[in-house]
Amino acid sequence: MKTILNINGKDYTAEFSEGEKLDKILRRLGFLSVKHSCNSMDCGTCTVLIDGKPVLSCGTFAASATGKKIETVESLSKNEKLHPLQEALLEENGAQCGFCIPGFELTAKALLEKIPHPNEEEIRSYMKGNLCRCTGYERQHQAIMKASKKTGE
Amino acid sequence: MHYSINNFYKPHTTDEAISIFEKNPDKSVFLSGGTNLAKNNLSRYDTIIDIKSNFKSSIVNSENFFEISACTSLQEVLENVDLNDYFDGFFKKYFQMIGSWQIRNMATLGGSIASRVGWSDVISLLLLLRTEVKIVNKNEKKWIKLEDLNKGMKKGHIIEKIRIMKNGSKYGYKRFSRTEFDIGLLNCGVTLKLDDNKIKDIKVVFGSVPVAGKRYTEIENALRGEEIYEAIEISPELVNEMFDGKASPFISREYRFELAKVFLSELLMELAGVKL
Ligand SMILES: Cc1cc2nc3c(=O)[nH]c(=O)nc-3n(C[C@H](O)[C@H](O)[C@H](O)COP(=O)(O)OP(=O)(O)OC[C@H]3O[C@@H](n4cnc5c(N)ncnc54)[C@H](O)[C@@H]3O)c2cc1C
Ligand code: FES
Ligand code: FES
Repeated sequence: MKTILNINGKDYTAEFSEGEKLDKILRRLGFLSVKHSCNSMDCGTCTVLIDGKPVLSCGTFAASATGKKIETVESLSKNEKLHPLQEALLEENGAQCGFCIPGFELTAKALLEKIPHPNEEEIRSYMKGNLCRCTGYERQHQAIMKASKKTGE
Repeated sequence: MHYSINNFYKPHTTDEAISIFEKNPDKSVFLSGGTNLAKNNLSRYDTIIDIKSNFKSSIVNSENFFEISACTSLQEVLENVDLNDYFDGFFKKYFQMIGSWQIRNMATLGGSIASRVGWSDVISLLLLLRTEVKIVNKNEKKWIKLEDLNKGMKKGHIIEKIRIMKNGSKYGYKRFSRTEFDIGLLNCGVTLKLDDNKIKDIKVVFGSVPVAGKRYTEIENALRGEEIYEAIEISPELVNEMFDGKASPFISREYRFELAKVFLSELLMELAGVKL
């Protein structure tokens, strides 16, 4: 099928077959931040926002996403300025290999939009679907706290 | 990638969905949140009927029940203020245990009931409450009790709505999983109504045994009418006699039995406010 996908506020013409998942199509369109990893909805590295909500693109049929607003991490920095969350991650050393980071940032962005000043328990609960092999999560969670101060000011 | 799929429909109504399905019933499948379906081998199908994209999610608070459209996401149910107010935070507390935020944004209440996965917390939790399900196919529209789903729901039926009846019981739920994010290896729920320290009414549900949750009416019957301390005392023995847990790759039969005993007696104690 040939259709339009709205990604990061722009319409893209995409051609895919009816059984294809969204992660593959986004990567094919050049949004390489979307990782294809476990393919079983377990790790969270393929997280994108659809209509503002974090979902797993490896479990989403691309055809279901037409007519909706898809966001990938490429939308976060504006005019070469990093999003406060990205700045906080760098400052707190919350990223090591970086593989989990796009999915992590999108879930965290949605969390801060929902709960501008989340506490530790809320962060753990909302972020538990984004696995990270490197950081042990502490610094990532501190980065969310820090960003919440920056964005919520 | 599911190579066999050639058609993808996004109907706006249940009738439209059913008429698409009926054109090719052997090769068509309904899609809601996709958290179960997208993982499966779909090679026997060529048509996906997406019943989430264009259907409206809704939770309506009526005098005697809550009516929830099947495509409402688990996260919407978790966050609903009226439901949580009425059921004393039940959904916020227990739906939080299900998967991750992403999974709960995707998975729907209808899809979670229809998929009948063995580890389902949703089915066990809804069995604790009084839940009815509206199923619709080309010939009929009817409400059935969730308990009767296996008998009542056939291929080609769509779950359109779910009703959760209001009543004044106390509910408790426990699950055991290897990690917080992992699926449960046993879940147990109890609904309790006491009258002067005697059990007036009770529901006992075990799920992930490893099949999907069901009520254990024999245990309920044995406990009904008992004084609460006596009920706590005899509950392990009742589990020994009447629970039918089996071994699965991650947990032995014996371990499931031990967990079942502990969960049931702890829930009875917690709900009755009894401390040992
Ligand atoms: C990593 C992971 C962890 C999870 N952890 C848990 C957990 O801890 N506890 C828990 O309870 N669940 C958990 N789940 C969710 C559960 O396993 C199911 O995937 C989910 O409940 C299915 O809902 P869905 O809306 O995505 O259904 P879909 O995947 O869209 O559909 C599932 C099946 O139901 C049919 N169907 C869907 N909607 C309807 C309808 N309205 N009428 C008739 N048929 C329909 C479909 O044809 C399909 O056969 C987890 C899922 C994943 C991926
Ligand atoms: S690749 Fe989607 S959750 Fe792991
Ligand atoms: S930084 Fe390496 S997986 Fe998270």
